Amino acid sequence: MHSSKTKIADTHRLGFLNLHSKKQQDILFCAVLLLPAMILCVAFIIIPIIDSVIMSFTTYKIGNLTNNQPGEWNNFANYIRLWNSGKLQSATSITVAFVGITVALTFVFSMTLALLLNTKIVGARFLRSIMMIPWVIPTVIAGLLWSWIYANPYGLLQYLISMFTHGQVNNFAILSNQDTALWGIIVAALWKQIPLMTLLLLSGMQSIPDDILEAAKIDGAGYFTRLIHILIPYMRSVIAVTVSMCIIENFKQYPLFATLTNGGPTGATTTFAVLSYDEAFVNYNYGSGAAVTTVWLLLMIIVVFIFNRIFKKDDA
Amino acid sequence: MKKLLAFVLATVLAFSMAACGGNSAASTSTSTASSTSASTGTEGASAAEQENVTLRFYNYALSETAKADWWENTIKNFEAENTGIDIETVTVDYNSMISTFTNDLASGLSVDMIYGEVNWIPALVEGGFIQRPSQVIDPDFYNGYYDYVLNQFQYDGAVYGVPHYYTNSVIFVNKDLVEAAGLSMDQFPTTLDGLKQWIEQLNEYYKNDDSISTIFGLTTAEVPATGSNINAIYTAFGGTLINEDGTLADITAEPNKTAMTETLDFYKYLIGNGYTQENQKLKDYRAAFGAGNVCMYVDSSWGYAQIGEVDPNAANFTATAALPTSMGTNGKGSSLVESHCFLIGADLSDAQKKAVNLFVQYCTRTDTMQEYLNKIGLAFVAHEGMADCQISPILDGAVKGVDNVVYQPQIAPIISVQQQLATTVLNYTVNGMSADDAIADYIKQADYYINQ
Repeated sequence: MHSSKTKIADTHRLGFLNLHSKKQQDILFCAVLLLPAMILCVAFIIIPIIDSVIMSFTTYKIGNLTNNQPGEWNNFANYIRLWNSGKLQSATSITVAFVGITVALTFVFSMTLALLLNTKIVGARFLRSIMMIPWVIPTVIAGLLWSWIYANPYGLLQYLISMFTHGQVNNFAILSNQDTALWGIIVAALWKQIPLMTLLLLSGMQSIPDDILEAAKIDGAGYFTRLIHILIPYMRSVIAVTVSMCIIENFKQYPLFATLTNGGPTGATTTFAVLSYDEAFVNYNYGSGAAVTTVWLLLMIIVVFIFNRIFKKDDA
Repeated sequence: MKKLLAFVLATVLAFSMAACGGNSAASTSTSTASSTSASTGTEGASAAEQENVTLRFYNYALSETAKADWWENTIKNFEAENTGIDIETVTVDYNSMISTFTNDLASGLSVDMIYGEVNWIPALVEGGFIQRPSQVIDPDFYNGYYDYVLNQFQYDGAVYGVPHYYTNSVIFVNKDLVEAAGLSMDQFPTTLDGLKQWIEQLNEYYKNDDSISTIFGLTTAEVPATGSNINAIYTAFGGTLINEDGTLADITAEPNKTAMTETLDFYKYLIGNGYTQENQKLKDYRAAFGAGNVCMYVDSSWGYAQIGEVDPNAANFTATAALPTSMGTNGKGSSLVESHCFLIGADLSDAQKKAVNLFVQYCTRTDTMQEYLNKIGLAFVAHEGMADCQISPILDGAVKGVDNVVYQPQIAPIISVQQQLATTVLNYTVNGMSADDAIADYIKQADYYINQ
C-alpha cells in the first residue's frame, strides 16, 4: 500500500516534473525557432535604426562613408541647423497635412466604394477587378503617369480644363503652383491607395453575419442606423488595421513626391521623405539626413500610437 | 526529429532572406585584380596590347537615346583599335551617380572612369572617388586643354577632371517663327532692351496662335540643371555667386545686388507677361522647341540632342545666338562655361591609367568627335588638338559668346546653392515676395548649405 502510494506520488511528481519540463522544452523550442528571425531582425532592423539615430548626432559626410570613418559627435548640430533653417518645421507641417488629408479622403472614398460594391450591383465583380489596376501599378510608374496627366501645357488635365472652360484657362499647372502642388500629389496618392483599402474594407464588410443585419432591418433600423450601429462597429478591427497601414504608407511616401514635384515649388511639397533624401543624397550630409529620419520615425510612431490609443479607448 | 527539421527549416528560411541581398563583388573584382597585377614597364598602346585591361566606365549619357548609339560605337571602335582594353560600361541615372558609386564600391566593384559634369566634382573628391587627371593623362596632351575650360575643374586647389567639350549659355531660336514675325537673325539684339523688343514683337505676332506655347523660355523648375541656368543668367547680368576663395559672394553688395535684382525682374517680366511658363524644366523646353512651339529659349548647346530627338530635321529651323552683351546696369552677357567631362577613378593600376589615357585621347580626337559635335550634342571643342574640328553651323550665332565665358569655382554644396536660385526666382515672380525678401531668403538657405 505504502509502496503503491509512493509510486503514485512519484508518478505525480514525475508527471508534474515532466509536464513542467515539457513546457520548458516547448518554450525553449519556440525560442530556438524564433532565434534566427530575431537575430535577423536585430541585425537588419534594430541595429540600423540605432546606427541611424547615433549618426544623426554626428557630422557624417561622404568621406566618412567611403573611408569607413566614424562620424564626429557634434552636439545636436544637425538638429539645431535643421530647426534654425525652418526646414524641420516646414517638413513636419507638410507631412502631417499630406498624411491627414490623404488618409481621411482615402478612408471616406474607400468606405463609400466598399458600401457600393457590397450592394451586389451589376458588374461589381468586374468593377472590383478593374479598380485594382492602380494598386498593382508600381508607385514610380503611377507618378510618371500623373506627371503626364498634369503636364503643362500638353497634359490631359490641361486639355480637359481648356475644353470645359472654352479655352479661357490655358495655363493651369497644378504642380507649379505653391497652393495646389500638394493637392496634385494627394490626388495621385488617392488614385493609388483607394483600391486596396476598398478591398480590405469590403472583405471586412462581407464577414459581418447577414442575420444580424437582417434582424436590424426587421426591427426597423434604417440604412444609416445599420451602418453606424452595426456595420462600422463590426468592422472596427479592419478599419483600425487599414487606416494604420494607410497612415504608415503615406508617412513613408517618397516616389510620388520624387516623380511629381521633387519637393517644389519653393518647398511646398518637401516632406520628411524628400528632405531626408536631399540632405543625405543631394548634399551628401548623411548625419543631417539621419536627423530628419529620426524625427520622421518618432513622429510616425507617435501618430500611429495615438491612433491606436483612440481606437482602443473606443473599444473599451 | 520533427523539431530538428522545424528548426533547420526556420533557420534556412530566415537566412535565405538575408542571402538574397548578396553581391557580385567576386565576379567583377577579378578583372580589376588581373589588371592590377599587370606589369608597368611598357608604354602607351603597347602596354595595353600586351595585357588585358578592364575599365569600368560609368556614363549617364548612355541612358540618353540620342547619345547612347554614339558612345556604344565609339567604345567599340576604341576597343578594336586597342586590343586588350575592355571598356565595361555602366549606365547610371544622372541624379543617383554618387549613390551608385558608393554602393558599387561597397560591393567591391571598381569605379575606373566617369563621364559626368563639373558640379559633381566636389562630392566625388570628398568621397575619394576620383584623382587628378594630371596624374594619368600624358603631359603633352594635358597641356593642350584650353585654360578657360580647364579652370572650372578646380576644387580645393587642384584640377579634378578634363573636358570633353564645352558650351556657353546659348539662346536657341526657331528662325522660321522669328522670320515669319518679320525679324531677322542677322539683326539679333545685343542689348537686353533689344531682346525685350523682339520678345514683345513675337508675342504680338503669335498672340492668337495656340500652337506657340513660349515666346522666350527660361527654366525655373527646382532641379540642378535649372540652378546652373539661372546662375548663368545672373552672371550675364554681371553678378557673381561664388567668390574665388569658395565662399558665398555677398549678394547684398554691389554689383551683385543690382545683378540679382535685375535678374529677378527679368524673370518676372517673362513669367508675368506669359512669355515663359513658371516651373518648366529644360527638357520641357527642348521637347516643345523640337515640336515647333517655342520661339526662343536659353539652354546649353548640347540641349540640341533632345531637340533632335523630337524632330530629326530640327536643324532646318534651329539657329542660335549668344546672350546680349549688354544686360542691365553692369551685365556684359558673360556666360558660365559648362562642360561634359571625364573624371578618373582614384584606384587605378598603372595599366588602367594607360588605358584611361588612351581612351580620353581617343574621345578627344577630331575624327572621333566630328559627327558628335555636329549632329548629336552640339558644343565647342576644349582641346587645341581639335582646333580643326568643324563646329555645327547651328552654333554660328552662339560662337560670339565664347569669348565671353567665365568660370565659377567649385564648392561642395554647389548643386543645392544654385538650385536655391530657382526657389528665389519663384518666390519673387509667383509667390509675391519682394526682391529684398527673396534675396534674404536665398542668403539664409545658401548659408544653410554652405555651413553644413
